[in-house]
Amino acid sequence: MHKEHELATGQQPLQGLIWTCLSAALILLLFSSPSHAQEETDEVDEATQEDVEELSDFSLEDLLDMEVTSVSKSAQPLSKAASAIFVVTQDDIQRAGARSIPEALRLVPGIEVAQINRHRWAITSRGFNSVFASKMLVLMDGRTMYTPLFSGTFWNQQSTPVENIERIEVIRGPGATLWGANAVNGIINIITKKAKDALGGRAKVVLGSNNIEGYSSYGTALGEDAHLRVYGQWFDRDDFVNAQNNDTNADWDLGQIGFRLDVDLSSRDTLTVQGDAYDGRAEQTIDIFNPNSPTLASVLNDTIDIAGANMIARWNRKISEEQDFTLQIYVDRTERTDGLFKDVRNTYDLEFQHRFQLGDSHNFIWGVGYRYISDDLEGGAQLFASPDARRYQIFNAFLQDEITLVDDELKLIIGSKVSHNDFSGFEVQPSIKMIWTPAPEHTVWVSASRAVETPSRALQDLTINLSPVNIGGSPVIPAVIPSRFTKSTELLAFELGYRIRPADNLSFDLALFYNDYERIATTDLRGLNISGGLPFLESIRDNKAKGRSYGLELSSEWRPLKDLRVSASYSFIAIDIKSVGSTDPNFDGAEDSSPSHRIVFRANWDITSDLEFNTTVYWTDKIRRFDIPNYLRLDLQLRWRVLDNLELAIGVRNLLDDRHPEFSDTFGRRGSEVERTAYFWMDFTF
Amino acid sequence: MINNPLTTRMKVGGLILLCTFVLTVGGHATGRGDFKAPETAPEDSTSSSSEYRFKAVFLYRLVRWVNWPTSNLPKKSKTLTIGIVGKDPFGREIDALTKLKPIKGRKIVIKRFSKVVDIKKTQVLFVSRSLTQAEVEQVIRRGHRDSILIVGEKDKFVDQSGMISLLIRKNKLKFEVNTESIKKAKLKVSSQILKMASRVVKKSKKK
Repeated sequence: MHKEHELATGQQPLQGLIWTCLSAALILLLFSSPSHAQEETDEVDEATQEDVEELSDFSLEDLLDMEVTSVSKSAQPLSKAASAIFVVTQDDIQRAGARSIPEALRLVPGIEVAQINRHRWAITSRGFNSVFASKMLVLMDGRTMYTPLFSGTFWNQQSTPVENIERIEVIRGPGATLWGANAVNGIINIITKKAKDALGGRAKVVLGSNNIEGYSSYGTALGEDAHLRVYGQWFDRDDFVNAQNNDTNADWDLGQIGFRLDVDLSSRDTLTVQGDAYDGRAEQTIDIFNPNSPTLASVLNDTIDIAGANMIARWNRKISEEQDFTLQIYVDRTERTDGLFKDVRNTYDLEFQHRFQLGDSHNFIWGVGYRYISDDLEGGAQLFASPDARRYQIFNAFLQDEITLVDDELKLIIGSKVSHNDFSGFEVQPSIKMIWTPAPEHTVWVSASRAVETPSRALQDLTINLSPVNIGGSPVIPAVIPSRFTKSTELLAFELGYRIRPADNLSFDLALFYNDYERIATTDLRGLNISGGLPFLESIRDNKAKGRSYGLELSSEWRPLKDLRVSASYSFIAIDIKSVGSTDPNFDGAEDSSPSHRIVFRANWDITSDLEFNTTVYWTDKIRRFDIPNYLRLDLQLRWRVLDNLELAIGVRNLLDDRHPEFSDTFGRRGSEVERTAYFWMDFTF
Repeated sequence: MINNPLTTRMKVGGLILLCTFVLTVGGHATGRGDFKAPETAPEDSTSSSSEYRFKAVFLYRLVRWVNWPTSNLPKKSKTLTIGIVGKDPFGREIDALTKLKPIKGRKIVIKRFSKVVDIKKTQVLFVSRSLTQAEVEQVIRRGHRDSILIVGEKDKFVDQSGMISLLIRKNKLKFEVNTESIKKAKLKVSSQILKMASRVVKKSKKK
């Protein structure tokens, strides 16, 4: 037997870990914060003195009317990050008119977003895109949103209302050292608003040319130190048409409710408890294998029933300016049922992180985590898992040290994560980074990291019998056979970045990368199997390819006027895959699955303090694998704050063409094109 | 699309929305009415220095409109002190004020007090975020007793008897005033200032 799949002893390591965390937490409680005597000095450098003098010429009224920062506030601390990071703020999301997380991610350089139909997207970071893209970690407030079924995200299931989001931090490149499993080519970290940042009531209604949506929330203070927000959303989004202008049976509706409670337990402790529950439905049409049909094929008009709930509790203690820790626990249940497959899954996760300074030059962060997943997969002739129910777990521990070599100028960051999972055993994921800030407006960083994509449940256990193809006049059923021998894909990544701010109102951010992959997943042809009476053309999961990718991402922001912000980004990627004895006809599919060039341009103009005009332009290169031509998309929006508590917006997406295709699904599921749509919203606060 | 069998789903969805609407409206009726602005800027601990340059200059501009009783600011005093209690968020930006033009003949002096017990004679006291709720209350009592203008930067600072709070909203500086607390400290603030405030609290909330 290659591996045990049932883990009867799962409880013991969990208990051990809880005790480790609790005792670590207790030890930390004993630390006390050293107080600091601030030295008094009148030494002010000339530049600061000049800045202050210049500002002091303005009257109080003027001061109140001026923008405090010239470039967005959230961008400030990012200039010191040693990775390719990009932030989409709540304001960016609203100005782009994005109604879902995938749509907001279109703004990010290096992230490829392609819509397949109304509720299905292929999203990846730095290449290897498909509807089952599996090299990206997606997190919301510390909870992983990707499914261990295929290590990718069901975007039609995870659809938190965008109004809840404070910002989305996107890191391209590996983040495996600090972040959880699966942070191979990128991390999407969605951060929701604190309860106290959305006080009062809010009701928003969105009417679109093929959708209707509502969102409502209420935030209140519970006594002096606690804040609570509750929210609800519901949407009904109609399908897009296909190239022949026919409907595609891909309507999508979903309702979700949730809450977030933030409590200041003391001046040093904060506790956050939050949870969501949702229920929805997405339609699909699939060409399937049907053993009872004479042609062995049929078309299934089907509905995916989507449901789930999660709850998370997080305790943060700030011991002093020099150290703090976070303890987090969550449970997550997801259910998906369609005509072919039922996937019910419970995830339990416990994490502890501690940051502390040692001396003047060492800033340590370390942590431990444990995740326990139990799933139950009910399949049929087309799709089945063996075993159908499985419990598995992931342990991890990491340590990172940020060493200041020269004050305010040169830092070295080294660290490693060690993890253990039931599919591929121990994995070590180290990284080394250097960041150099020769002047406040220049930052140069360089990094080398190793990251792994561990085998998913699907690669190990899931058999897929696809819709028949005709070979020599008779139907043959392509079958994908799982393998317990699949291994982790290994990545060695090298990155170089440069950020410059030539003027107060202008900034550039450039990232270059070179990725070297070993043991890329392939599906190798094994031959015809007619032992069961039907002709199955079998392929088996393996790792018989290697490859490399390189590219660059450049983003810039310019504020030529106080009321005008112009930002632009450009992404380039090239991928080269080589077979290592693979018989997979598509082993190099990733080479042609990404647009080589991508441009996003945004102009946000505040015409008056109550009226703004927003333009977003996307240009995406062709995708050769699916014969998808390049496309240009223009979005316009007018947003008007009519009253203090009422905002109206009207906008159009894809103004320049009726519709265009963006990607194609494999596995016989029919896609659609992306249509021109218009929308109007009314956002009322009280 | 047109014959969409969505009716039950729509009912469920509508019900969810209705529930939250009822909840929000109900909550609103019983809750406090003075909350606004759902998109308030997030409190950012890593605020940029330009934010504190604004806040420092604002303090410099503000003191001209405040009158202290002679008990705390004798007529012949040649200096006016701005103190910072707790961890200093300003850095050098605020020291630059000492070289600006004197206000009503008084030179600005900056003093830093790391703890509440360290507070010495001062006319303005800026309360750092690092202070605990209890320490803030202590500072405010001290302000009432010694006629010190207590300035903070936390949300709802003025609701807890803080005198003036400096806030960043939508990337702009805003300020709120508690006139009751200012009166209690025997300070006088010009009505010009009150007109510019984004919110004036006339009564502190009862505990």
